[in-house]
Amino acid sequence: MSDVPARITARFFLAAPDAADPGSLIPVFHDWIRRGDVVDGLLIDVADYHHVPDGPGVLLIGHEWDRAVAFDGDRPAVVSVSKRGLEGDLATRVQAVVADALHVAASLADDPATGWAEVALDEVEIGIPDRLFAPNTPESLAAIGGEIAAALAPLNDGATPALEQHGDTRRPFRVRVSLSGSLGVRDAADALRAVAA
Amino acid sequence: MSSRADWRAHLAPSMPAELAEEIDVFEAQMELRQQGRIDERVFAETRLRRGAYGQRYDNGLRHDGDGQKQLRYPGDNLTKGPDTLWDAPGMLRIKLPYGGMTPEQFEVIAQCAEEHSDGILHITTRQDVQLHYVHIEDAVTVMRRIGAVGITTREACGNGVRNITGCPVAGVCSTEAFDVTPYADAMFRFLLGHPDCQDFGRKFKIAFSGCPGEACGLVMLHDFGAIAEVRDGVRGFSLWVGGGLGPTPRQAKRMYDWVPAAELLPLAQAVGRVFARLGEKKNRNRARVKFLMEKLGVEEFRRLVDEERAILPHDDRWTSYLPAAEVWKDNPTKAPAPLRDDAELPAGYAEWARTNVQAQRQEGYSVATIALPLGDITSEQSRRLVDVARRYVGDNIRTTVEQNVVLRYVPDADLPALYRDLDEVGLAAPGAGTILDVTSCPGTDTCKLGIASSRGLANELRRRLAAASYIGDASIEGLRIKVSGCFNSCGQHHVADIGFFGNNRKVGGFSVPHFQVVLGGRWRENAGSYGMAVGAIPSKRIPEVVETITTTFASERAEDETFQDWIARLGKKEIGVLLEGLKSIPGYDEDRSFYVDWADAREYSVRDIAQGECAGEVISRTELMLTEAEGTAFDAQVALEDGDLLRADELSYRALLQAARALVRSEDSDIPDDPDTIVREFRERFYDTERFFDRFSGGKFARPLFVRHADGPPEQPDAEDIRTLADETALFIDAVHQYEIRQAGATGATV
Ligand code: SF4
Repeated sequence: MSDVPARITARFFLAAPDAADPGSLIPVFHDWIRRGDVVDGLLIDVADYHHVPDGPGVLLIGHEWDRAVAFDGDRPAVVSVSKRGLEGDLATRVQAVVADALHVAASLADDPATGWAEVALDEVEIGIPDRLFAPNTPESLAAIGGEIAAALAPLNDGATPALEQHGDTRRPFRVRVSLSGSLGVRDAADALRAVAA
Repeated sequence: MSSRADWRAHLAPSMPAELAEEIDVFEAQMELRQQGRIDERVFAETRLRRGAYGQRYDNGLRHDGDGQKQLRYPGDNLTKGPDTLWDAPGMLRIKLPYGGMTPEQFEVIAQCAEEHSDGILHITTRQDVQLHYVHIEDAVTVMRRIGAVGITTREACGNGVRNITGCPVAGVCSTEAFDVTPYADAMFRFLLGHPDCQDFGRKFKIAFSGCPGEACGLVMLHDFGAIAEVRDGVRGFSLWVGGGLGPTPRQAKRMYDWVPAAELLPLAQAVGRVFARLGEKKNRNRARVKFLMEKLGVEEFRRLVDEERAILPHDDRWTSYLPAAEVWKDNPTKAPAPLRDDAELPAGYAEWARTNVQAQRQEGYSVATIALPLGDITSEQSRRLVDVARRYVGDNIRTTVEQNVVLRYVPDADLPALYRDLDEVGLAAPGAGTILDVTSCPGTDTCKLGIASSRGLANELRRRLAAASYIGDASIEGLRIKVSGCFNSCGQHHVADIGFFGNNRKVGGFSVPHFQVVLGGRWRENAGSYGMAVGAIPSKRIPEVVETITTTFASERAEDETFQDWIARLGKKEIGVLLEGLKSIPGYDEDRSFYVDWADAREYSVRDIAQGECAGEVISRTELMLTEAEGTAFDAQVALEDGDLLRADELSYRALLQAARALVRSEDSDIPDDPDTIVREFRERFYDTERFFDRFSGGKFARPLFVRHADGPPEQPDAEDIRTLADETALFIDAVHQYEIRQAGATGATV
């Protein structure tokens, strides 16, 4: 089995979940595709699933990444999913994905139409939807949890944050990481990108 | 990410050997395409026959509102079909015969959706599941993962037998003659990959229904349909041929008034042979069975089928399933139990039960419908629905042509608890089968042929209807709305009370999305009649069309007048007057929203419409079989590299046989897959006659076939000998290709 996953997700929960207005994401994501310089990678299209209760919301589909404000967890969240093209070890990849999610969150929050998409920085959820690489078991947590936690220390003022595994073994691997760093969203993204580079 | 090889190794113990082999061959064909050794047209049809379909923008072009822009995929413009870039995501269609799936299968599809797609399972109007945005490299892994639990994508697209649909309430319905499930299942298995169904000019869709009066099977709109009927105590079917939708919709014709069940499979096979032989191949717009039926007439078509039936080589499978089919029984998880009068009913339950629950023929059981918005369900919801299914009904899950899921054999006493469980997962929406339950094809969201946003419109209608007070009127509530993104009719708008299909109009130099309004189609009686097109209306005014039509119907209809009768009474002219005011479009500077489609933000354009893959390319059967042989030969080379000499020998031999069979089959479509016969027939027809010989090499490229066949596998495998055999296999396949090209040159045909 390959020793580093390509598909990794990072989600930051909305600071004001009740303010979420998924319909407003559609013009913003289309605009990002038109501009081409807001987020990394080749952007393909906008997939609107906000009719699905507890669904993935509105997705910005890309070749290397999907981004979304999703409603399929216990709270709405800004999500980045890496699909291909990441390099480096697991820690570097996790940092890249988390940095991307932060960048997406900041870009949404900057736009007046989606200013509601501000995220809280006290927690991030990391997922690895690759059952063969990492089933959602205590063994997987023991094998890769430390690396994930260490990778996110820059968001926790340098201290290794605590992790908690979520969901049962039928779900994809998922951990919640508690953070108490002092950086804002953009600075946090920059800090992670700097270490990932 | 776990690679294809990781998954292949992991799943090897649970994969049926034949399927594992097929997927290995497809994987080898992918590699050959990447090396430029298979033509893109041939690979496209091969890919379609494995259920991997193109998706919008996969030609690398997308209109972003300002203009058409290039999507710069990596991969040096490698294609997986004409104008279809290798790296562009595609759609994978998973066939579910009669919509049936087990909890385990459902769960595996859900896993694939979240690991290889966008986390959504989309139920289609033909009871399949589609995953979108799947990279071709991942598609192979999905094929393996679902194959390991007994489901397939094979022939889900392309010019072959598509999914076989059937009543989702078969076996539990009070109007059926008998349960059609085992017959649909037998036909699915019999025709899957059947040699007589590989030479079609276009797709071939089959449906089963348990009775003529209800809608469930929609037999009338299928290429081939069977309606159950018992005569003199014998189970049988009326057989219907030549139905179809699209721009020239046709109702199927009753070709056989009644045949016993024993004749079902052979007659389907004979119809397939006639279609393969006489169906149009060049003009794909005239290549469905309905056109052949029209050309020949039903009498002549039947005569040809009878003739073909008379000479079919006997096949045990025609009848071997019948004893089990006669005694086929569902397997409920729980015993039946009535709902007690004093049972505590949760809030919302009564409305849900009114629209989503149907009593079964078996007392004490009900069918509960999970109404899915636009046929979409997430992986997580699927998992939780699987839990609910396991708790109440076990294997009794089916998808429906209205893009929903039904749970069968729910004990009545459990209905309130089931409702509570579904509600917790967001799956207890009422309104199944009502006007709120709008059906839609993918349209411009993902379809390359989409003209207007059918899903965007359908969702807007759902939203507005849910809030509309006039929906309470009983005459309106039961109407059905179906939306297609273009005239190809995948949303089945022809059989809706109120149907729409997308088109485009130019206004003041700007494109404006429109929908053609089609009224009065009959859903019941297996899609008994098609609606009447009454004119195109700007997309943004369609919600007003629905309100105008429904409220006028409710207020003006005569007592007991059905919607269909009312539409017929009004006629095109009066309906035209009714809708006239809704055709106007404000100027571009006055209201730009009319120039933007639903759920979109770009200025509307039809520039993104691309060549569809609905039918695939018409590639000769010989060419496809040779591609298969090439895939096997490729696997032989891989085995050689891995040092697995015996496997390399075995695969080379198999590839030689596949190539020889491809050629023999071009003259004898009944050639069995038996090495002795293949080699004998090849020798007699092509070698001894020297037809296979070319000017310079004579027949030498055929000799490895004869030698290996005569010698059998080596006792002491020698690497050098086997390498020679593998190389000679490639040369033989090439020689067969050359023979085909020489033949085509001689006859003027295209290869
Ligand atoms: S009806 Fe047209 S838009 Fe809809 S799925 Fe079929 S081909 Fe595509």
